[in-house]
Amino acid sequence: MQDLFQNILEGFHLMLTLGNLLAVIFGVIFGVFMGAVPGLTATMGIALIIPMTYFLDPVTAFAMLLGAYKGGLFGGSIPAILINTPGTPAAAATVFDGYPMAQQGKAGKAMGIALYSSVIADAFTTICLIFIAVRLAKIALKFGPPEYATLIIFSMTIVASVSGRSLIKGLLAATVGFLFAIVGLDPMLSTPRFVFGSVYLFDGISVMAVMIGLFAISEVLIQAEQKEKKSTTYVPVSKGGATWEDLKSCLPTIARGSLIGLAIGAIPGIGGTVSSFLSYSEARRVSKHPEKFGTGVIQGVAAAESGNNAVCGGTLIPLMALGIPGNSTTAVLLGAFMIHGLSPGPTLFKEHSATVYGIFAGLILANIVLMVIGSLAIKVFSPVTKLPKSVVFPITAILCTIGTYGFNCSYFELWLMLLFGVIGYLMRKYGFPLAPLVIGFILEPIGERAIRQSLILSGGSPLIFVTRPISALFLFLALVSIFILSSAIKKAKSLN
Amino acid sequence: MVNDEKKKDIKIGIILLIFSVINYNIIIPYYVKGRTLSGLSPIFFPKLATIFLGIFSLALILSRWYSIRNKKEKEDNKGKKKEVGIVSYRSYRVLTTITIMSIYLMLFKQIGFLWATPPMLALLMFFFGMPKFKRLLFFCITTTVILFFLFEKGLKIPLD
Repeated sequence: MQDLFQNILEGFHLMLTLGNLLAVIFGVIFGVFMGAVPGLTATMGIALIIPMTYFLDPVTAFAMLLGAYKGGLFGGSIPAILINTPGTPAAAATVFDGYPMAQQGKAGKAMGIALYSSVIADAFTTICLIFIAVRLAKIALKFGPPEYATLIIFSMTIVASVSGRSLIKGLLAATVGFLFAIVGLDPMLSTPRFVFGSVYLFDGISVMAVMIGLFAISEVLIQAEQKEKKSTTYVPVSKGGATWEDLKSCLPTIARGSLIGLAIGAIPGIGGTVSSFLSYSEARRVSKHPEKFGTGVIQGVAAAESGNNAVCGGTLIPLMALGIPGNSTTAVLLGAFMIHGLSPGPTLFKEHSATVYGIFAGLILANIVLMVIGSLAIKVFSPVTKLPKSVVFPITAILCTIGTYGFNCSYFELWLMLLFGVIGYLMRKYGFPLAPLVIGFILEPIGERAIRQSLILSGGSPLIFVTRPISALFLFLALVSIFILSSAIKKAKSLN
Repeated sequence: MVNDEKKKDIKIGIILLIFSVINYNIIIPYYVKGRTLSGLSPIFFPKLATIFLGIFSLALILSRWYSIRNKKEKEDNKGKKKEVGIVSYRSYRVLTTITIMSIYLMLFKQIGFLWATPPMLALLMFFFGMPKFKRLLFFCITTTVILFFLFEKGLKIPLD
């Protein structure tokens, strides 16, 4: 333990130079910007600044890259709260309560709590990364296809939490999301499914086109229904930010979100979107007023953002301890490690101990910088609420177009974005919740692949899902969750 | 009015039910190739999702139909007529916005972002109710130029 503290101090000694501090500040600012523009992601941000790090020493380079990663995760919440558009897919759950809060004139409060939740969750997982990375990574490695499959089955119970007034409509939306996710080449055999002869659909439907279309373009269409009579703001101007009382009321939610994010992040291939939805669902489940979720509850924002940002430290655990990238961002970071002559894995801690602890110190520094830059970003972006809707929504439409195009440089995806915008608009008009569709769309590919791989492993026997302890545990949790949800629904019906 | 919503739900349920039948019997056999070596076939999940779609659609239809039958509510016909008027006006505005965006997407591909954006942004701003021409011009030009330089020059995303 003493050695560990010695290493951490050495890491800080290595990190605390003016050049490194400037690198972290640049990384965080760039990351927040990338996250705040719908369509641009932290992954793209990191990929874009990697060439700038070629001539820097590894500690400075990773300070910049990880600053961009953290900034990007938080930045996604800004448009989610202000214009009902998740800046990144992982910020989709922030929309549910963030945007209603903005509509009630509490955009500053929502963004403030999003920032605090992000920073606290991130700090928690960074500490976990430093102290228990190797041990946690070994547990995460026990996850095989059956465990993934049952985790996804358990995650599907989120649909009930985000279905709003009608569970049937939520289930229908999730099923439609499932069907959209099937489009493309089969994940196991690469045979075409629902591509209708179009090569553009071979890669499936872009998640960015779905998110931006469903949330942002549908909002533009809803706002287009009525012409602005005079130059009025589209939401009431925000008064005040998050207070200590707000933060205090959210601390248990943030703690839960941090643990969920850490666990989900440590498991390769799941990611921040699932984590933020799970955290949101859990916060709603334990709340004394679950019916208020979705109407602008501050805990809803805290849950989504803590679940989303805690993934940062979580995904770095398998990457640094075992050399396994858990998502696309850490895959890009793995490339950066190799460019700088470092090979992540157990030997990294032995051979490059000073650099590793310098990077850990950089993570903590990036967290502090994020707090400062995030507060400034809130001040910079808050005036959006003062703009009239005749300015905000046309510019949102253009920004969404350029963001969706920038994601894959594909014109076809622009049409998909518009199509999903119309679908989202119709769903909202007819009282269908959007969140279950997004959940179905995101979980289907991971779940289908895992179930099919499991059945290949077991020679077709479904018993594989109950004979392995972790997968049996997830199935049990899913059953408990269904039981609790059904009794809650019965209770609500009897109260009505 | 509550019954109106439920009737709409029934109509949507019927549409989704018909779609699930068509999907199961026509679209999946033609557009999902079902060869398999071991484990589940690629056709399994599309069929499963379609069956669930059908079941949930049927559940929606039956639950709303049952609910309407039990609660016979009187409706205000005058109110209903007024609402129809608003809906058609709103639909016209939404359809116009979709048309403007479709034209923008076509122009985006044909003439590039820099030339397609200012007129389309101006049109959208005017349609959303921007009252002042000078302000409209200012926002159109500054937004286009800032976004162009940010994405094309800064992030190296080819926009032209």
